[in-house]
Amino acid sequence: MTLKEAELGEELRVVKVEPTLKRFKALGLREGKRVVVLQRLGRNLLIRVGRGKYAIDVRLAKLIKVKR
Amino acid sequence: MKVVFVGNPNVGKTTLINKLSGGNLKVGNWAGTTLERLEASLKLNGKELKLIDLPGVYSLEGEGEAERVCREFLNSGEYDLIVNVLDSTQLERDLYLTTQLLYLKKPIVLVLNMIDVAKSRGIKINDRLLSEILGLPVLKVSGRTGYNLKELLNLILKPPRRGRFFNLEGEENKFRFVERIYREVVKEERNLEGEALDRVFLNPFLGLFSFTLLLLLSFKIIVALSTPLIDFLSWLFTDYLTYYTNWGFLRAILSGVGFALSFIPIIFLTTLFISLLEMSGIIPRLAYLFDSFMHRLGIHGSSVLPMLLAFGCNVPAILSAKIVGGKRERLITVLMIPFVSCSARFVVFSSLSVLFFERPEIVLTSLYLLGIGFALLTGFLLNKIWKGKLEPFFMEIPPYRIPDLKLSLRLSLYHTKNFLKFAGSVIFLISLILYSLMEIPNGRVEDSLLRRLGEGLTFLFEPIGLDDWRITTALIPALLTRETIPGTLGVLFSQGERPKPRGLKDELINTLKGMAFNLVSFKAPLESSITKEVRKALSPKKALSFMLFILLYTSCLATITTMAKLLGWKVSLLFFLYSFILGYGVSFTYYNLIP
Repeated sequence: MTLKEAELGEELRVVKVEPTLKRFKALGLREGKRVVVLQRLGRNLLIRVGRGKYAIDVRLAKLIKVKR
Repeated sequence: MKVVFVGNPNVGKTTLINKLSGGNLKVGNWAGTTLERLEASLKLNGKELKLIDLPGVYSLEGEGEAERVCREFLNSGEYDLIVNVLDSTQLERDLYLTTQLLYLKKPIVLVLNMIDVAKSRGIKINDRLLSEILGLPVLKVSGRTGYNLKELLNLILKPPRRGRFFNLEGEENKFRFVERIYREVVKEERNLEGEALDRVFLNPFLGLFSFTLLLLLSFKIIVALSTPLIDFLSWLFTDYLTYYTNWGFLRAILSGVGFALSFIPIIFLTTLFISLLEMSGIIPRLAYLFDSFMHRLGIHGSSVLPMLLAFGCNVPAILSAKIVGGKRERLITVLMIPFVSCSARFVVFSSLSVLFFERPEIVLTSLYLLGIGFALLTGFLLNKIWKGKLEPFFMEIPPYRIPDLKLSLRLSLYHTKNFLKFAGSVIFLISLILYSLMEIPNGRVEDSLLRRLGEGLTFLFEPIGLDDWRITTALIPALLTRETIPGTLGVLFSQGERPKPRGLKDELINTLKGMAFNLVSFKAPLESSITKEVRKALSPKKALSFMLFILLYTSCLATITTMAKLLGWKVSLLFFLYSFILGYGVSFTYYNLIP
């Protein structure tokens, strides 16, 4: 499933990040890392990766594959 | 010796440079505060150190402007040492950039900043082991508390060391290497600090409500504390000192420069409040909250950051619009910024609202909100005219940080000093010119050239309630900047005979009483003879009409010039015309159609 479909509060593992999102890898959003969706607001998701919090558009979240 | 500070965004590079050099570079708690290469210098043990601040980047490989600036400078080799600043609470993320810096084969010092925050969150870092692994000097510091900053200077001056060379071709190898180091050197307890605050500030209703409340409360405190001081300084310069001065030109200078200087308390307190807010981490949360709404205007929530910076000054806010990606989004953001009330407008609004209204903090907040409303309207119109597709939004939400009061005080003092310089040069000159124009041709104000000039303009501004030639004359130097308005009013309303002023001691006691009283209940009318004259020349309705015009009309040469640099003179002048028509139209509607 994609990050867009994740449920709130669920801790997931990143399986694949589309090559177009290469820039996110340097800040921790890469394969093998844990990610939690904290909030959905409008077209954005608020996620936690490691100790960092990020707001990400659902169009980008669709390009990140995750698993439970 | 040239030392370059490199690190991820929002790790405190600029704060460290400011603390080490005593500099006044802009700081803020969000990614992208520094957008270009900045420099500060200091002398140490007879050596001149040049500290270079580069924009924060997560990696040197990206295609953004910040990455390009960093890459070009670091590849040029025109420096002696790299100070790699890392956020101790985000070491795994930040070490990735370190692995790229090792490839430059330049001497590096690794600085683990915000160590106090890491400690409070249960993060323990084995700095010795990290130093052994990388073959680099590693130092734990805190830019906020000043912990180990002397040691950092000593380390910079020591003979440089290059790090070990690791063969880490490809990003996957670098990531694995970083993860291994992180596991070895960092021990952490799970700590969710800031979650309670986020329940408030990241909630769409509570967040906006809390921010408005914070704004209102801050205005209340700023106005309450500064009004009696403004009252005292205004009285001191324009009543007390001028009473004992016989020379007309000296009285004009004292009234003009002195009346402008009397607003120093409000300038100091406003810049202090803005600086504290910028360091807290609340502003980027607003950007996130506003994103969906801003989409309707064809821009992202990230445009909120420069707009909020505009509360301080529109010029750096327009420059910071560079963080907004996309030409169209940047143009909309830049053209919205001038409607956000800056501290110069605050000086004008506060001086008039305390004179004419019983609850000036309500008037001030309403004017600020109205300015934001017109900024949004402008964005909405531009989005209708210039349609385009938005890139997806992505933003880092920084952790909350306790603002560095010492640094905020220093930055506020720096801005206040700049205003002092401005008053001592520009306002001084304007006062002198106004006085000369009042003396031509026969030394009588009634026949003066200035009065004729002001009356010529009165014809234009009478429909919006500005029928006093002295008020319309104040709009002429205000073309340069709005901060000149109180000074000009000071010169123009200081003419005529004065009663003997009260004693200095009594006035000082009244001021202190007023400051204590205002915090509880607000009612402290300004009592200098100039303010009495201003009150005679305007009514509350006329004063509000004047403030509405000043709010919307971009009467600031620096803003127009900066806008022209970014968008071209054609757009800039068109905007100037638009803001004039809008300001005039709104004031006209208010003055003539609203009972």
